[in-house]
Amino acid sequence: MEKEYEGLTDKELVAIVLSNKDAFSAIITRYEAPLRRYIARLGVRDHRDVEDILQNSFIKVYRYLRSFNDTFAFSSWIYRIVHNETYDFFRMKKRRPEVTLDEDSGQQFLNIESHDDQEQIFDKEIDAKILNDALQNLDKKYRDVLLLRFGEDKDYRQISDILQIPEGSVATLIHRGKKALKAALTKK
Amino acid sequence: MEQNPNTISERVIRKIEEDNVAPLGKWRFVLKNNTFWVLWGLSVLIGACAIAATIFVFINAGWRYQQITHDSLSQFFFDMIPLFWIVSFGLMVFLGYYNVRHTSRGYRFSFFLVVIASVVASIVGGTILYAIGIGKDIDDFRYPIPFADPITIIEENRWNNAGRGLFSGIVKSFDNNSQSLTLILTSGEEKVFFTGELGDMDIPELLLGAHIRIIGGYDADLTLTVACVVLPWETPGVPYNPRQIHLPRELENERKEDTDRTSTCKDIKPYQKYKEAFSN
Repeated sequence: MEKEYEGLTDKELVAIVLSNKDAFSAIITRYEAPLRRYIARLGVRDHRDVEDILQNSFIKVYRYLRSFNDTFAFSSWIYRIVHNETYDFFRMKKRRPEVTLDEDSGQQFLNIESHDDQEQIFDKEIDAKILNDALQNLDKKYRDVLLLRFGEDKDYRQISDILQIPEGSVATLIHRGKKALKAALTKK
Repeated sequence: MEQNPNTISERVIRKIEEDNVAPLGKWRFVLKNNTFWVLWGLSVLIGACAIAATIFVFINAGWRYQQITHDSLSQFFFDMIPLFWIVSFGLMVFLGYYNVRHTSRGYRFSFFLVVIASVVASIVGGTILYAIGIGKDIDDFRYPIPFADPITIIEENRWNNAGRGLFSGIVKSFDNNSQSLTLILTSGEEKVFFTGELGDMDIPELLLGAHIRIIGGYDADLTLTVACVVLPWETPGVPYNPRQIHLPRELENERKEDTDRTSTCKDIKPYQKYKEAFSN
């Protein structure tokens, strides 16, 4: 059934879901994998917790679907809900995020060059565990922007919409975050 | 083909059906967004009122007589500075930022942009409110608030300070022959002054019903309150100009020179300051 929605844009799909809730499964299918990965990257280790956060997030997406403003990217909006739901989970469980980049995504993270100064700040030889530790100890505000920029490959506008901060602040946080991460990696 | 019951998609759809979850109405979000914009507008308006009152206070703070009423300019400044309005304005700017931040796109604006926009809008609005003449009315809102008197009350209190030789009130009666003036003080109490020490420039102010200020003091026996100088209680915002006072012809030949005044007046500190400030 979801195949019939495949060619539609997110915005077209949202319009259909508002009159036919069964079409919502197409949105879930479209975003399940990237959001699952994002929740894990934010530091939720237990698979069941990831499932719960994902389920609650999708129910929230459905409930608040009419608050989606189509001048924004739908993906930013849905990422924002998942981001908030994940941090609500940490607060509720009184847990600290445990950043876990798997081998592949860690390497992907490491290989991304700085877009600002063309300086490759990450040493490709650094393994994912060291990177995880460095990210783990990084200030949350830096970790969030770096994960979105280099882990999820989001642009400044998208990060601004997901974290609800001005684009100028995104640029500043990325710049400072990279310096902080570089300093942390150099120490290791 | 039967869908796998364990997929997240199926679980979510099932949960939506079981709990009767439905998308909330758009009006809720529109209302919430517009409410925050309206609240921002309100905070700017209240900020503008604070600015209008502040302008009124600064203009009508009693600059002309500050050398008489205060020992130093800094003392005068701390006495008149409208902390209530300044704090209110700061609070409104902060509330303005808070409200904009909670609109659907508010996070896209930087803190400084929102603050500068709120401050500029409040200053423009406040200047307009002051220009149309409601700065005093707004400042009078301070009246019931403890330790935040309106500037008109502060000024009245400064001139109801017998210990300092400053008085103000309404002229109830004046008899030039008996050299006696009865003043209804702001406190409601009546006070009789000896006017024999007044100069010609003072006499035209002593019209029945006129609101005046008096610099004076007690004579050596503490039996008489001597009026040394009479000044008009000019309309706030309208500068006092002594040259506008025209003496009645019959008084022209009775001009009393300062040298004629007794030591009662000369020993009064505000009178000395008055002479220093207005001697030319």
